[in-house]
Parts: sequence; structure tokens; C-alpha cells
Amino acid sequence: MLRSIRLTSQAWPSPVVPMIRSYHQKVLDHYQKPRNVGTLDKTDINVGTGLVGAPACGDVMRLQIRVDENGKISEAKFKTFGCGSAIASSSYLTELVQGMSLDDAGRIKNTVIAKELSLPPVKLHCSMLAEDAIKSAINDYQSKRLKAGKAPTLGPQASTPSSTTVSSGGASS
Amino acid sequence: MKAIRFLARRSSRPTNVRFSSTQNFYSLFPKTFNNNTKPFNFDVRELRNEFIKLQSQHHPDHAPQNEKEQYEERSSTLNKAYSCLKDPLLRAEHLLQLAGYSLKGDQAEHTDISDQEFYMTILDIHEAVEEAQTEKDLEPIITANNDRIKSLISKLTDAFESEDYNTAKDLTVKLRYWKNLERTLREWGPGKPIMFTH
Repeated sequence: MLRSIRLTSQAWPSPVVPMIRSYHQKVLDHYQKPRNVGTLDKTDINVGTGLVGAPACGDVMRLQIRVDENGKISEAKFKTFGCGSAIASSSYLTELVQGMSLDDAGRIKNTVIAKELSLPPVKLHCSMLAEDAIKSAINDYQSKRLKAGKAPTLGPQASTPSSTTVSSGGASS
Repeated sequence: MKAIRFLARRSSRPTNVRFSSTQNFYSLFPKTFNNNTKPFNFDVRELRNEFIKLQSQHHPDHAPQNEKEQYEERSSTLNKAYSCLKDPLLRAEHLLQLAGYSLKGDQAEHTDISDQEFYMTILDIHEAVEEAQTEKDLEPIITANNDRIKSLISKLTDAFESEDYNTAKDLTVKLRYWKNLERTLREWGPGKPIMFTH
């Protein structure tokens, strides 16, 4: 089950795959040793910043992505002030999006995060917050590129493909 | 029949919560809130006095044998009502619920662009708390947060008075973020990671 979720992302880097632990431990692990906590330079044209909040519980999440010239996410950082599930959701998300195309990252559903971390129903909104955060980061990246007169490498506003990009939908392997 | 209802109430928490959220807690304290009023701002000490009085009048230990269940139920409802009304955030949520505005559920996902600055401020302040070395570093943050909460409560009073529930809703959501910060500040320890429990 777990493996099949992970395999949906072709770009998933392999190191952590064989993990035969309980889900609960995974949440614990993420919020005790959160991955990729930190900041990227938000003025950088290659960086997209997503800043989202959860009115229902008062959590705040910042997710930043760096996009390389191939339109893939080369780096992701987060900072979350919230409950353990929100921290774990965003921590896991930064691992998940690593190496993904923007299209693939934009299609990540909260259910993937919730399943991976085995979040109880009352904590589903934490995974939704993470889904919002990546969407918001991608939007930020793309609108920043548009404003700067550079076409986004992928996505709905993508212009005709240049030599370094592929057209949207045709996310190559 | 009664026993069944009692057991059901006891065993299923969600139903319990739902039940209590639609009930008007103000009406349980007729002395403090006469004429069916539901003020946002009131004297909490007065409420406390009435609460203690009511609890001692209907203490389950003093209940006649055949009315024990009602006494227990009443006592537990009073506890819930009091702890809700004495807390500004829970009270605001309760008033919004009574007016048909809900803050719970899956409304967590909508994020307004106009909120960006607000979230940025919150994040900055939490980061400052995280970087604090001593309690002294926290003092200005605590003072600023107390002022913020005070001002929100006064705005909430106005909003509820003029029955401007949309404004009240926005203010209540903001109050929730700052209450989280307040708790973070209270539980702060040098080098201790910040994590909410809710």
C-alpha cells in the first residue's frame, strides 16, 4: 500500500523506501526530526513561496520550492507553526515534491499525505493545509515568472516550449 | 428509556459536542444574563458566582435517587457552558454558532491573498519566539500580543453588538491565531520546539 503511493511519483528519490514501521511512528518521526526546515530566498526568481493558514485551528505553514531549469523542484523548505500532524504533513511534503515537475507537484492530493502519515479524520485538515501550501508555492513561482517576463516552465500559463522545457501534460520521465 | 438516552449521551462524544454546540449556553445563567441577552462582553466574576451557585444547587450527590441522571447531565452541561463562556475565543465561537455561522469543519483550506501579510506577521513572531534565548527576550512579544488580543476583544464586542457577524467571524479567526501564540509564549522554554496541541 505504502509502496504503491510512493511509486506514483516517478521522481521519488529512493533512500527511505523500505520502511516497515507503524504509521504512528512515522508521524512521530517527522515531527520530532522534521526534514527540510528552513527558508529559501523569496526574492529569487526560481523560488516559489506558499504561505497558508488554517482558520479552523490557527496553524500557519510556509512552504518554499526552488525550481531548476528543467521545471523540476530541486529543493523544498518549510516552516510550520501548528500541531504535530501539520508539522509532519509539511515535512513529508518537502520530501515528496523533491525532484517532481510542477505539474506533478500541483496534482498532489492531501489524501496521499494523510495516508502516508495515517492521519485520523480530525487531522485531515492538516494534510489539506499542506496541499494548499504546495499549490500556493507553485502559483507564486508562476506569477513571479510572468511578472518578470519569463514564461513559467510548466503549467497552464506555459508558453510554447523552449529548448529546455516540455509542454504541460507531457511531463517527461 | 431515560437510561438509554443517558448511555447514548455518554458513549458517543461527537453527538455530545454537536448537541452542546447548538444549545444556548447563556440561557443557563439567567441571573447574569437576564432578559435573554447574549452579550460578548460581561463580568466573568458574576458568571462564576452564578455557576458555583447552580452547581451546588444541583449537585449530583444531592440528587434524589430517581433524578440522579438529570442532575448529572445538568451538572456536566453547566461545566461545559461555563468553560465556554468564560473564554473569549470559545465564547465568540459559540455566539457565531448561535447565529448560524460555523468556524469548524473543512473550512480550513481557503486562503485569501489578503491574508498573506497577516500570516507573514504570525510566522515572523513565532520565529522570534523560537530564537529567543531568555524569558526577557519574550517580554516585548508578550506585551504586544496582550495588546493585540485586548484590541481584538474590544472590536469583537462592537461587532457582536451591531450584529455584524461577518466581521465577528474574521476577528474570531484572528483571535485564534493570537491565542495560539499566547499559549506558545506561556509554554516557552529555551530551545524547546514550538508545537500546538489542539
